[in-house]
Amino acid sequence: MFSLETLQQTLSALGSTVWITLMLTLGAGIVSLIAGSISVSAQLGGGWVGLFASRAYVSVMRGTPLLVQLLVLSYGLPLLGIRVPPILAAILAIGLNSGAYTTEILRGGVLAIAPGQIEAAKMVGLSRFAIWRRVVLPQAMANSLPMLVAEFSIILKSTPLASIISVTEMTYAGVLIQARSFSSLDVFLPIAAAYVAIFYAFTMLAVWLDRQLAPMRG
Amino acid sequence: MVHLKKSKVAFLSALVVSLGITSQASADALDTVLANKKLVVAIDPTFAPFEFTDASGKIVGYDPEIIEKVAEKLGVEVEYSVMAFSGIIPGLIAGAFDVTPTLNVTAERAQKIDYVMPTAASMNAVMIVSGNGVASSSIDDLSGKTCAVKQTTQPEQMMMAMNDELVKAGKAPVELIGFETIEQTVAALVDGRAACVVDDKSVLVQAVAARTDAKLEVVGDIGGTQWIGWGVNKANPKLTEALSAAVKELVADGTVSQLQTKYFGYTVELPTADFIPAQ
Repeated sequence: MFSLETLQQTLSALGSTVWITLMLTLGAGIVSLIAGSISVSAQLGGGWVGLFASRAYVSVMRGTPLLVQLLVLSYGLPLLGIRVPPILAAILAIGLNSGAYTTEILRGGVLAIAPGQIEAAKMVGLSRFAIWRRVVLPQAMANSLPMLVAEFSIILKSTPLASIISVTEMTYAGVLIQARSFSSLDVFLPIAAAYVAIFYAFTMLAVWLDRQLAPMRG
Repeated sequence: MVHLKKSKVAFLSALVVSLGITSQASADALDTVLANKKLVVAIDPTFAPFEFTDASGKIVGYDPEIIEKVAEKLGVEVEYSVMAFSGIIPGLIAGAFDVTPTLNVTAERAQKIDYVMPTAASMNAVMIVSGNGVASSSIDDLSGKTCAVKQTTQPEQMMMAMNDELVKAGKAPVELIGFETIEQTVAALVDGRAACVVDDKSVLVQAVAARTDAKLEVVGDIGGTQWIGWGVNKANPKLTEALSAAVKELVADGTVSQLQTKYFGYTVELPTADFIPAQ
């Protein structure tokens, strides 16, 4: 049932939706890193209030399905009078969900830093904030890089969920073609290849980053 | 940190609000639709012939064609919001769009949303090879015969339920043989392994048209009818009423039956009231 026509339609749909998938993935990745950094900072240096808030955030995000979070965020916010474009709602929902896992990944990275370094930083007179921002967090990220790459791949593979709030990304574009052509392989093989290509490109970036960060690793 | 807590508060209150309140107490969406000259239609165009996309990606099908004619009557434009089906009813309840087509009319859904008068029906039918000894689609005529069905589908489940009734009445059940695809059931019918095929009527009509070599015939309907209609948020009774009135006009002038012939290959009488099933 392989048809050149279906393949052409798929490639053209990929051309227009690969940007949506990239935007969702990079956007959610950035939200995840920011949310994870803030949350791990609160957990390890924010007193009991910070600890509680961070734990609550991680529990809520890890304890509910991403699908539910997506629906709550995109249909709950308008009820509060906040209107956001669907793609932004999807980026926020996927990013905040992933941020909970990033919190735990970064926590591992922070705990791996030798305590002597922090003592040394105190000795040279750095403030608590400066120690956190210049000594602890960068090394935590460097330590956690392999886990963060894995988390990024999960973000990439979560993006098709955005189709339930009217964001047509690569997978749903394929579903639309499949529904009229009744063929699957010539639609979803190119789409699978596009996901692999995105992930591979990101892995290459991570390898490069890993080399840059190597001297920082504690 | 402050930022995070704020967003968490917003998130949690959104959760509470979305659980507690189904829609805002505001004006009927009909006013907004007429004022903006725009009817926002949520659609998952993956269900041919009801709603699908053509090669250029344009949304086409039976219900989109009716919706566009209805919008024309109201003097508004149709704006499609394309999304996967699982997001459609939650979005409708949250008021994210005005109407969504092609929903099965069920008592359970009718508690959450309102229905415009149905535009179509889904029903099962019996297909035979002409003169092969099956007199009609009544279950008594099928008793003891072999019928081909697609595995794990609604028609198969319906036939199993009917078999229970036959056995209770002391009659021979219909022997069901299951296949993966409609082509395989048709092949079983044509080479005599099965005396009939039970499936959705529009599917069977297409098979009859496709296999002109085999003297296939849809001998009649079987089981009940399930209506298919458009859903509207319960907060907008005026919008539901206006859409129903426009559909009714299109039924009266013959447009709807013309479209039924075009997309399904058969026509069906549509009810204007009391179409919500009791259960």
